[in-house]
Amino acid sequence: MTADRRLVRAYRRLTRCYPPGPRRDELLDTLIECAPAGRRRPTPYEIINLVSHGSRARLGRPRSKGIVVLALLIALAAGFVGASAASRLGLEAVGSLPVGAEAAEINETVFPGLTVWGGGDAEKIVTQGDGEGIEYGYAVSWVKSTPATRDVAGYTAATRARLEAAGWTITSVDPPLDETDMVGANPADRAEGFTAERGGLALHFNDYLYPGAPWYDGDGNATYSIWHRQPWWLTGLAWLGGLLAAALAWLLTGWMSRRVHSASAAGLGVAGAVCCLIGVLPAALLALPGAGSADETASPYWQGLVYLGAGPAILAGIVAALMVAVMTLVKPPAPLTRGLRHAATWPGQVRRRPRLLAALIAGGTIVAGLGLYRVETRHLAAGSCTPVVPSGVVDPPSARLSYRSRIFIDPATPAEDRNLIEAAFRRGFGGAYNFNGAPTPGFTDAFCGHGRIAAGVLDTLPWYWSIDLASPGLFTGMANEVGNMPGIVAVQHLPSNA
Amino acid sequence: MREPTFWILTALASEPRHGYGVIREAAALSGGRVTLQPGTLYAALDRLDDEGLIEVDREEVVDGRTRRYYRLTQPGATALGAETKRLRASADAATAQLKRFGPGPATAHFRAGRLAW
Repeated sequence: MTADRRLVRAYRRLTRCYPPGPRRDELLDTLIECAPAGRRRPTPYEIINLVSHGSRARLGRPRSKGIVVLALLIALAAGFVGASAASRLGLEAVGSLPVGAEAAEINETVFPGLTVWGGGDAEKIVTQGDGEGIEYGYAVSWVKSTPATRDVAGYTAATRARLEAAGWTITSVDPPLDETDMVGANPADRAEGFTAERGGLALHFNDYLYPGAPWYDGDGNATYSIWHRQPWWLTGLAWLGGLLAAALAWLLTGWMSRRVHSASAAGLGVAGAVCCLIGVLPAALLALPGAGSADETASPYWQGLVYLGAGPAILAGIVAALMVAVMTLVKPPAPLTRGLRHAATWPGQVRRRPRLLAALIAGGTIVAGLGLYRVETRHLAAGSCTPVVPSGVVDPPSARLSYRSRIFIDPATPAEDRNLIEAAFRRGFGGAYNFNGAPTPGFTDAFCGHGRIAAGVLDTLPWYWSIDLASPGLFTGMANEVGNMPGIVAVQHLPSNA
Repeated sequence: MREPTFWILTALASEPRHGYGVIREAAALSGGRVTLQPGTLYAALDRLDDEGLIEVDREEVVDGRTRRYYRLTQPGATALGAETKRLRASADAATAQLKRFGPGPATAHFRAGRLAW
């Protein structure tokens, strides 16, 4: 019987679900014999049957159910890592947060007629304030309190109406201010907020008034944070990355399983696989849908890989790579064996050509020497340092997306003025900060990359705060808040990698 | 023992057969009730081979493709015998119970359906 050529081709493709070997041929023969006359393509039931049994056959060990469970768990863990990697890489293709005309339009809608500070773009992923987790990047914009914004309920309602008129949809309203358990709470305190969405953007507006607050802390202001909603294609990309990684992990597990025959080697393999799973699965469990926040503090589903420390996941990757490497060495796959046999003739050829050998040795020596020279000169250069003291407002373009800033002051600034400066940069949305006065450890980092500064010079250097900004665009507003205060030497926006 | 396994061993009991031979014989012996999918057949053959109940008898090359024949081993014949005894005991028990069923003679109607795995 001669079967349809297309059918034979389709069956041949399906037999590729099975591991390489005579089984593919044997199966193809049976499939063709079974096919009724006139059949042009495999039936859906046949396809499902061959894909599922073929995938199972790839794992070897036909009697074992454990290998299926292990392979499923490994595929799940690898799928999670693959999806996480695809999500993270895909984020880079998401555009900038509103800048220029788009930002101006939103500012005019939220805060018409007011000077708006902040805004700009943000990093795609940022470390949370407590340094433990990560969240999607967002940009904060704010205005100083005016009589209009002090009417919290009125201004919030008006802002909602303006945003809705501009095409935004209100998705949630913040719960009312609850100061039940707060010591010294002022009954006149007010705070209201809401979240809105338009296209690929989401925005959280907040207005508050604490009438009893000291003047230097400010009695309130109105702000909005803006961030990207997860685009649909990024979800698709994550699924694609996850499925590819899971399929690859399944094939690798099968490849290893089919090569291991002794019980001790199998035990070692299972132990290694379980180690890998322990490194990844806890982070994957954290990715299960839960009560995640839907505001600007939303975290990516793969935050567990960072939150639990990337160490276990990296260790799992190293163990997995080691297992594959050992297996490749012990039982090299056929194409590799052929390649190695070909490559094995190389050393002999080199030995027969002394000039080539000499050239290779000379080349290697030059590369190693240049490397050593670079390391050594860097070390030598670290010995002496002439401190560079910034002055005025320093905001280079390379710091556009940086959350790091420093405020330098004259060491002679009285404590009271220092406190006022601290209150001012906190008003301007400086987040976590620490103060460096000579000679605290790391103090000279602000003036010299490495190296020592002479003691006499050290005493003349300004003191400074290192401040993490809530979003990179807040630098200008913060500099504006502190710029003219007594004792200020410089306000510096630091590039992230400085 | 699951039904596909039972029919594969039964099909191999009389003589060594290749994949399609097993599928055809199982269908004939079961009166057309059993249609084995090739994927299911080879998964079962792998398992039975691993358990030592069947083994490869010989290989032939037909149309440039290898055709492998399988035969029942002695442990396979023993396992099939034990399963047959178990099924007969089950059938006998059901028959005895049916004789006590209802006022009239036992009337059980079976509709011939095609089972597929």
